[in-house]
Amino acid sequence: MSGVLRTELRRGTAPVAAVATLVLGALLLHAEASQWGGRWMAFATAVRFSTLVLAPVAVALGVWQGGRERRRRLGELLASTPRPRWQPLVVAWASLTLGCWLGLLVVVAAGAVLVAPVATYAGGGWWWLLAVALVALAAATAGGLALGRVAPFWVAAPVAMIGLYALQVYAHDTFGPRGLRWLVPILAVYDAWGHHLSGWIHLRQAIWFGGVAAAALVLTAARRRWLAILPAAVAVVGAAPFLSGAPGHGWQPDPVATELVCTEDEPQVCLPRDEAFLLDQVTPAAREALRRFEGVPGGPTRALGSTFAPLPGAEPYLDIRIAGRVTITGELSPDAQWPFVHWWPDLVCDSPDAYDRYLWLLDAAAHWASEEPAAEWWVPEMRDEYAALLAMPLAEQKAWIGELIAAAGDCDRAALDQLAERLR
Amino acid sequence: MTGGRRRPGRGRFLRLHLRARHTLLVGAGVVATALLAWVAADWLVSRPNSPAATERWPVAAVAPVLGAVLVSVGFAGTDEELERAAAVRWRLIRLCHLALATLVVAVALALTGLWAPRTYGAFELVRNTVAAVGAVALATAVLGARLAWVPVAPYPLVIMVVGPLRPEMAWLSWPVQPWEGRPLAVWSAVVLLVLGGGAYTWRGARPVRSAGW
Repeated sequence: MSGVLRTELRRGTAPVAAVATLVLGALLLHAEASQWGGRWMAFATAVRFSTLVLAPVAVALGVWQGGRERRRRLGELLASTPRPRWQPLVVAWASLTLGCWLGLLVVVAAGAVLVAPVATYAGGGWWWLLAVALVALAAATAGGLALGRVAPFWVAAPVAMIGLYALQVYAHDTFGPRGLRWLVPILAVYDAWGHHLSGWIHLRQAIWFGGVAAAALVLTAARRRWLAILPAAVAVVGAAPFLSGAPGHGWQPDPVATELVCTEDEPQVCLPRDEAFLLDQVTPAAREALRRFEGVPGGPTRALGSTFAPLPGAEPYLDIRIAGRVTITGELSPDAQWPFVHWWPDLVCDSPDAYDRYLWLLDAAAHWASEEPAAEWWVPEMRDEYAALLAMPLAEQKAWIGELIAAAGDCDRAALDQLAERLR
Repeated sequence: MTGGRRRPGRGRFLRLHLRARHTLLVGAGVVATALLAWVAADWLVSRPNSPAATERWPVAAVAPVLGAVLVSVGFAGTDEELERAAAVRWRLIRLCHLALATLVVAVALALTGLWAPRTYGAFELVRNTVAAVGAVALATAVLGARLAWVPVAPYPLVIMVVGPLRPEMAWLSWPVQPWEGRPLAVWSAVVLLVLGGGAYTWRGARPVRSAGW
């Protein structure tokens, strides 16, 4: 049987599957590099995201492989041999799946070579995401193979490809059914920043995809097709908790990944552990931004990356956002248009209309902090008022910002109106 | 014995040709594609907080390619080499077949995008249909009808993820480009149809050894 498998691997659909998975996987991961550079969990999630295209391609290849005997008119010839019915099918599936796995593993190895030298956090169980990706590809090829056997049309391959793509997009849509998103292979990379998944989710997904693969193979290859009930039941066991919407599902903040790693000297600049590889590159710009607030009463005194959870203590800080700003080699992307250090004064009001009323005031302060010109969407009056702020002596500007911070923190509408009036 | 049998009339030939190219099934597939496109677009624009017509962009990218792949079933006969042995003006027939297929898919899809037609509606659907049918026709001439979907079907799926979306790259990312301000996407579609249609009309589908679907 191993000889037949070797032949299938060399001369069957497997080489095409390996090359297609390799090329498309590399293309998709390269396109998403700014979201995973330097971070293991984000990288593994990007691999899962690439299954948005790789799984449909695997299904199409499976359909193609499943129709091979019919296209080559080998049905009668194969039926006349004493070989068990399941053997050629399982060998064809195994070779195709190995081809897909090989292509994906080469892409993963290349990505690992880029991530390993810079990553500052290797925990969170990111490798389980890759393991489930392999099981999902096996399920896709098995499903495709089964479809190729029962649908004697070559358009079944592209239709299945486009259908699975659409299903994955639908399952992951914000307004799509909630549980269905865990029953398709893809995951969104931005969900992985500072988060991790529980082992139960990986296990249930593996059971679901494994059950689907086994059920498809049994349905296609076994003489007693009713035996497919067993793997189908296993698949349902894996899927049921997702569909029932049991609590505890989804991405959870990873306390170790989001632990702040700070510079030793002042003013303090901190990034979560999984982004700490950028600390040296971020620090000069963050300190430059902090200098802007020297002499501002109540102004931020340190700059922090996002921890996805409320920080203890009420010290004001600048916000460092490097999401989507990393190169494939784990460096900060040189992009002068968008500063990565932000500040937004806290407006602590119960009434939501306060945000509408004072939005431009807060926006002007945020622009002042990052020394940005007036926003394009501002009306001319707002531009004039921002110009009036910048026309003040620097000490007066800082005093104005300090008063704004105090008034916004207390939701003092009279003081906020007065601050606005001073710019008119 | 009598002399030779009468040649079938044009109408009979046309009926036989359309039957041999599975036209009824393909037509049903195109109608189903248009219905699915309409349902998908309706769902996309009716979601809460949805900024309306622009949300239909995935439909404008994928539906024309699906329609083009379906009509490519009719771009070759069961035995292409045997068919070519017949004394028939195949180039004219291929040209008509291609033109009719493009027209049917474009009209079917355009009918689903008449609301806000220039915002990922009828205009984009027609442009992308022209491009997709051209690409499928080219692939049919080079690879054969059975493999014509291989380079075409995954293309919008990849472009939807990786772009590029910049206007100067619209010639490459035509499936996801809006109508307004993207003349390069239109040119891309025209070039694909002329090239693909020309190659298919001139050479026909590349014959394959094994027959069947």
